[in-house]
Amino acid sequence: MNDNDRARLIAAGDAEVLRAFVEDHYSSVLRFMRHLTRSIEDAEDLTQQAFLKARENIAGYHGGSSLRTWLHRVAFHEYTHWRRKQRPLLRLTQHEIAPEPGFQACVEGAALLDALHRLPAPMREAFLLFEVQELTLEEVATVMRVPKGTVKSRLHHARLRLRTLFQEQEETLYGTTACERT
Amino acid sequence: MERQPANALDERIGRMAHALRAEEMPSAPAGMMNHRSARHRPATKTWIMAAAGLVTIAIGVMAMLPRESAAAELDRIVQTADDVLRHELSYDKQSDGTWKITSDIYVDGTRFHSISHSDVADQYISGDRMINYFPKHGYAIVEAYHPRGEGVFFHASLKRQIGFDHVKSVSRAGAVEWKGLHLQRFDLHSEFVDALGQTLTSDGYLLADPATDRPYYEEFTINGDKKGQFVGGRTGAMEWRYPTGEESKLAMDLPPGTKVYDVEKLRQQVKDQVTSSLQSTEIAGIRVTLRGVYASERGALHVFTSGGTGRIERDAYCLRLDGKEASHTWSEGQNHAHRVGDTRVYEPFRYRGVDLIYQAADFGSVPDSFELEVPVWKPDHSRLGRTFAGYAKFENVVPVRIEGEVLTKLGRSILWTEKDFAIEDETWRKAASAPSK
Repeated sequence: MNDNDRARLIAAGDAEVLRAFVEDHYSSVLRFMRHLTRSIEDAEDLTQQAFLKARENIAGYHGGSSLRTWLHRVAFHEYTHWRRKQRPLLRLTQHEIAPEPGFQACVEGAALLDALHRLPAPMREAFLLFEVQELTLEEVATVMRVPKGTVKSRLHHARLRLRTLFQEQEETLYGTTACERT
Repeated sequence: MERQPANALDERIGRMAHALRAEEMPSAPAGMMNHRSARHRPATKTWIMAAAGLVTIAIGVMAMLPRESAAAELDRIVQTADDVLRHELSYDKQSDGTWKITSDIYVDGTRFHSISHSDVADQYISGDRMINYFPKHGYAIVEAYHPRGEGVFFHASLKRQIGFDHVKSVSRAGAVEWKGLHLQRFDLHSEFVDALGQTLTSDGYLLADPATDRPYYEEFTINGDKKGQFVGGRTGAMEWRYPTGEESKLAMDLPPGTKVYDVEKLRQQVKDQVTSSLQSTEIAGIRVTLRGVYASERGALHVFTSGGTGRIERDAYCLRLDGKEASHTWSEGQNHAHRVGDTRVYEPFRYRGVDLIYQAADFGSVPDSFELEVPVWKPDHSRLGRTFAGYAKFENVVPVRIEGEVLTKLGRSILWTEKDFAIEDETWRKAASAPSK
């Protein structure tokens, strides 16, 4: 079954196809939302909201991109709305808190998230979509509604800044942070 | 330390990204699509429910323990220690057996000071104010602090630091001498399901002084995620000191000469000044007025003008500072954008009756006074609705220094009104309903 058929059946109310669609993509979208929000509760809310929105609007899916890309676009839109409504919270990116076991599966991953949240949002979002969600440049451009060249530029600058951040950390601190025993 | 080659850093970043990709996520909750969104439910946030559940479990465990159990004793200790000034150090054990410091904070009630051991900012919090201080760069950002979650101060709870609600068993393991102190050792076993749905265990010991109800040291090893490849075997430690006469560590006093950027004040200043007329010139019959020029510590220049229309994304015309042209100029976060075919174009946004055009670029550093050249676009009836008209040149421009999220709040302009947000929503709806390429 291709994405067009899947979308058509979901729009027609096929519960089984909808269930499979949710199962296929839930973890990926939840991971993306968690990395963007750094809060599993908010991520779960946004993910659920994204799937509900996707179901409501799936009749508008035209098949120009993959259903996964389209879903990321819906989720990303939900996230941008959420972000707009947030009050400025404690910027965890600005200081170091001892890793809290319940919220960190890996020191390396957490360190990258910390660094990413010190970058401007567009760079962070492009990086997560491309490097972590593994969308193509074209798909990231579709999700973020920017030209492919802009995505390239954001990825380039994100990587440059990450290099600088980690290099400075290592120079100032104690050597590299490795994810021991991986 | 010698600079690492970029490819080594890239490899490290690649490994980190892989770690994020490999994070396991829970499956979709059953019946998720049949429920209203969690955010629309009454204030019962899932974490509150989860926390309540854990507390219940912890209480149940404690209730099963004999007499004034070790758990009850430890519970009293960690709560009492919240009320005194403490110096808290966290460490991670390295593969070579050495300890690496990961956190160094002073905390007392709702006052907090985190000392950076890297290029990250020192952070002070007191009440509703927060200062991020960058010692290496000699400046600080002051902003409002909104503690997350029911007004509970994030850092204050020692109980939370220890993860006490997750403790499944605790037992006394005899008296020990540690750094000249006579302390009680408590062996702890904790279990918890982390945010990624993994069941983790933590085993370790905590040294405390029952006479003063103060913990001094905890060492623990975390194990048990599903694949055992991330946190498995990670050993950490925490040390608590109770210094006297060090209240000044919590004072939000910055060294003399530190440049202080008050985000709220700067925002108000921008709002009040951005429609003023700094200089005007004429390009191709368009009157161009320089309205606001802002420079950040890290060398970004933000320019607001009026006259003409917005840029074309990735066009060839960038801001110029003293004749040096930036490699890239952006308008995002302020000007509205829409697509014409594959091309994205920006439109001015109206603020206090003035149609503002925003352009920004990185220059590395921005002098106190400079010649500024701003690309100007003329509206027309061409496909993209504009053509490049030339550069508007302004001399002896003096920027206002800003830092932090002054011009934007969570990625959106502080100058936007509800109307601007509605424009953005409408643009998105149109884009979403258009056939994808």
